[in-house]
Amino acid sequence: MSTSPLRAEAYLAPETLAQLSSFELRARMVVEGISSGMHSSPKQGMAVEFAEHRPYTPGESLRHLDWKMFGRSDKLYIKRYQQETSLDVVILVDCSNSMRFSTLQTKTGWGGTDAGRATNQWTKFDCAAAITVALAHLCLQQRDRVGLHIFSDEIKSVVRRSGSHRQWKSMVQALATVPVKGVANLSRAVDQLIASLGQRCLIFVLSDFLYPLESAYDSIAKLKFKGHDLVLARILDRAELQFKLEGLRRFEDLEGAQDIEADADNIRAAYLEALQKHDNELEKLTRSFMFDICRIDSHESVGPPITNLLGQRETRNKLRRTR
Amino acid sequence: MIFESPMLALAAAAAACIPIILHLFLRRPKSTPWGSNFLLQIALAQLQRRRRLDKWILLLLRVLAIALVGLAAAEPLANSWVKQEIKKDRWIILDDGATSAEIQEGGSSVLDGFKQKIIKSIRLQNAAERCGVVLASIPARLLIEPTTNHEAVIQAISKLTPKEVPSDIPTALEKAFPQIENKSIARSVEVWSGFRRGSVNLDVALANNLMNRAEQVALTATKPLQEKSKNVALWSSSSFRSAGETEDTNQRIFQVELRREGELAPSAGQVLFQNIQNEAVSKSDMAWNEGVSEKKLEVFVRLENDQQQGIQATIPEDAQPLDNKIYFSLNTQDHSKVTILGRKSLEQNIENLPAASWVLRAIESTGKNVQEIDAQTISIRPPLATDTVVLTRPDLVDEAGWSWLQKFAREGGVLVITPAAQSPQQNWAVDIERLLQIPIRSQKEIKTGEFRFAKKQPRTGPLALLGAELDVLCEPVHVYKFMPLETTDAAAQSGLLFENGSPAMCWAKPKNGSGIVVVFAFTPDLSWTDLPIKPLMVPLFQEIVRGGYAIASEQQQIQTGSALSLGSIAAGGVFIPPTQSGLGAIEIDELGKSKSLVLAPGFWTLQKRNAPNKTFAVNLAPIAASIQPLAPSAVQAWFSTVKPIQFQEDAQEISADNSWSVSDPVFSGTLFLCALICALMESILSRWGSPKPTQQPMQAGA
Repeated sequence: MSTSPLRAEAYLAPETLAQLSSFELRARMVVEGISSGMHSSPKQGMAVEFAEHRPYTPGESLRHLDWKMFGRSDKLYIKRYQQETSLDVVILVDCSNSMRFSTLQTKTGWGGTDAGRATNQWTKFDCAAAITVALAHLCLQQRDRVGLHIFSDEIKSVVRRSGSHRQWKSMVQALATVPVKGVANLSRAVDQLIASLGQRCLIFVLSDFLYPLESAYDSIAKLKFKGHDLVLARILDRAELQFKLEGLRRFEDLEGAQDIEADADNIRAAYLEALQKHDNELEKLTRSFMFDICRIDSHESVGPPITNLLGQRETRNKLRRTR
Repeated sequence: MIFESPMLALAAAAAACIPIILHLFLRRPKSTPWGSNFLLQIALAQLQRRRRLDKWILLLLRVLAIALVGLAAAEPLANSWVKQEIKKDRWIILDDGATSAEIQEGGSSVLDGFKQKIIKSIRLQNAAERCGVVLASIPARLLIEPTTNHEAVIQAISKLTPKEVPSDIPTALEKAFPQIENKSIARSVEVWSGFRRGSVNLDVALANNLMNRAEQVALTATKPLQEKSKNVALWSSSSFRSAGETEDTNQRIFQVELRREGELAPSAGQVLFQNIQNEAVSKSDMAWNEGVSEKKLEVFVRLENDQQQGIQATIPEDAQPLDNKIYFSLNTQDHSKVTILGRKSLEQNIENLPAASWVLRAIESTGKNVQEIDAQTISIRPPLATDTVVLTRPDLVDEAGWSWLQKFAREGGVLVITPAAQSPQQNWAVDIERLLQIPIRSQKEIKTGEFRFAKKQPRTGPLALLGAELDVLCEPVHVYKFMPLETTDAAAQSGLLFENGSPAMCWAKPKNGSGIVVVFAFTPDLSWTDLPIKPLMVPLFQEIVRGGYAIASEQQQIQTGSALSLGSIAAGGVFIPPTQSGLGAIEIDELGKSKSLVLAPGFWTLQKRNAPNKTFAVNLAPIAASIQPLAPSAVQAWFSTVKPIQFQEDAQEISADNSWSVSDPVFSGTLFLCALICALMESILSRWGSPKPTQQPMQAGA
């Protein structure tokens, strides 16, 4: 763990902040917030958003009677309103060993994580941390509550959901100091997460998903069953995406699996084909549960992919409302 | 493979190892930390099989490229390489018969020349190819079974020397050709022979069954020798009494016939006559005029009473050394057994004596063992152990009797037939050609009148020994009756002639038989002729019995390469070879025949219990040693009835045309080209051999 004092500003680049400012993070499903906010709530009541009319039942309070309707139609109707509420966002970040992989020097001005600082590299975990703080900032700006769960073989670190102004700093602290090691076990992490959630949430999962999809399927299905919304963000290094290596190589698995000796020239096509296939399967799985997924190249700035994702979600929400 | 520069070939082999060393030991992978090998494992599983194959193909191409360059520089001998592709049994028929002794320019024999060439070809032969040798000299035999032990074959061939026997290439082919059940197995048969006149008898066609067995046989032969070597041969020998020397029966004239081949220029030489102890008896100059190819030389020889005498003639060495000596045995007496088939008579009156009695008296006077049997009983109790049968009553012989007589003559007996004096018609004579399988026939009507013998009688056949004496003896004889004889084939000859030219006596060998049949046109009966009371009677029948027996048993002309057929005189005996021959004795069975062949010329001795030793002369048949050239086309035609043959010189020329010669740069150039192609393929495979990406690298984004 680093002993240097954390500067939260160092974890959120101004250009990222600027790119996210015009977007609102809206939960696709109806959430049950504990404070009023910009997200619709299944509880109808004293909010400003009109929902519908229903016939008046004798004996009922006349408080919500629509007198204007009675004057026009001489019939008694009760006005119903939709309550707007705040959103609970949970960010689940993979801190397994594979997230330490990087082929890029640390970006200047970046506050850093223990994983990145050890090798002076911009690791996939650094990328995930940058995305997390950006999302957290956005949520807190909307007065939503946001929490953080960091996992590898199990949940390693938790920042409980909160809408306070200190929440963001707590999350940065957790990300900067969590040890990045172990083998990812998404299924177990999701189980643990579900157990800690009392209401519907919007959950972001930030991982490289370099493991069999069977466990991912179980996890996504459970989250769907519990009524949560889910966004998967697949973070891969550019070397993993493009595989521009040459010559005979001994690939040393950071997660401790057996090393592989292969000619990079020979194996490139097969690797890219396997990656494409794996990615397609993950997307198909996610879409089948009506969730969202995005791919992020860790070498790129974190702003554009997040804005891209948020833009797509907003468009879809509008379409849904018009329908 | 044989190389012009073996050191370069070794260097190429060493250089070819370099890629292997590099491939196995010098490839160090670069260590690369990787997030997760999960996807790599999936990719690797797909590629692993192809990856290994690619590597090995690359290695192979690299090794080939280097090795081929080295091999090309080493100039491999293309012919030996081409030959290695042929994988079939090689059967060598080597003619080591008498003609192979011919001395060629340089002083070595034809056989020595063949041996050198064969040994050289075996050394160049593929080690996996089997090689066997069949010898063509009589008896044609397998010298060594086909084997991959080429050194054993070479050793066996090295020891061969020319044999003093004729060649039998047809039998050698029989042994070298595959059996009918194995006729589909390919083999090459090579006939190594000079193909001189003595090597093959082109008049006798090859057996038809060889054609059926020759389907997969590649038949080649050496080209017939065409040099006309200068050669003189002692062709034949004979002995007879000379006219005017009749009182001294032991005085003989020994005559040798000489023939020469090749150049017929004037020349001179000497013939040396030696006795059985190799002591010189006489010398005779041999002068040849230009264009003369035959000559006869005579010397006087005196025989000791009751003693056998052998004589050998020798001429100087020439191109064919095996026909420069001839052996001859002179016998004063023989001990053959005679049976007279007539009808016994008690008649004492000389004018009424039957022919059988006259013949009996004539033959008995020479001390021979003679028995008289009734002609009618011959089918019931045929005579045993007899060499000569004189049939004076053929009219009494039935069908079974004639069958026995035919068998007797065919198996080497001497059969003398005279007409039946008592019968006005000789009905038996009409069928004699059929009954005895001889080319002699007769009419049954008898001609009567007074007939005289021709003044000059033929000197062939059983009466040859009488020579000019026969003319003198025939002069006072009158014949009153005779049965006209006719010969239907050149195989039958007249031994006595009437004045008008018609035969008084004919003789012939029965078809496929070894004996002799003598047919008289008259019978020694005083009602037919006054012969019984003339001086001719005794020598006539004595010589017919002796000379006939000699012809039948080939007593005086035993030839190497043949089995013995000596009749009762040799029954149960042992035939001892000349000491210098190194051969073993030959056993003779009860019929006077042997199973083993006589394989060396010289004086052989017949040893028999309770009988004096007898000397026989054995010679190489002069025709078997003849080195007159034969036309290659005639030899090809002879073989063509079995399989078209290719002469080896032609075959080698064709082979040279179809393959690269040793010094042909095209072969080395081709190897270089192959090396270049290998290098090019290696380059392509190493650069583009791995699977091409079927998709662009993944781009991040939603």
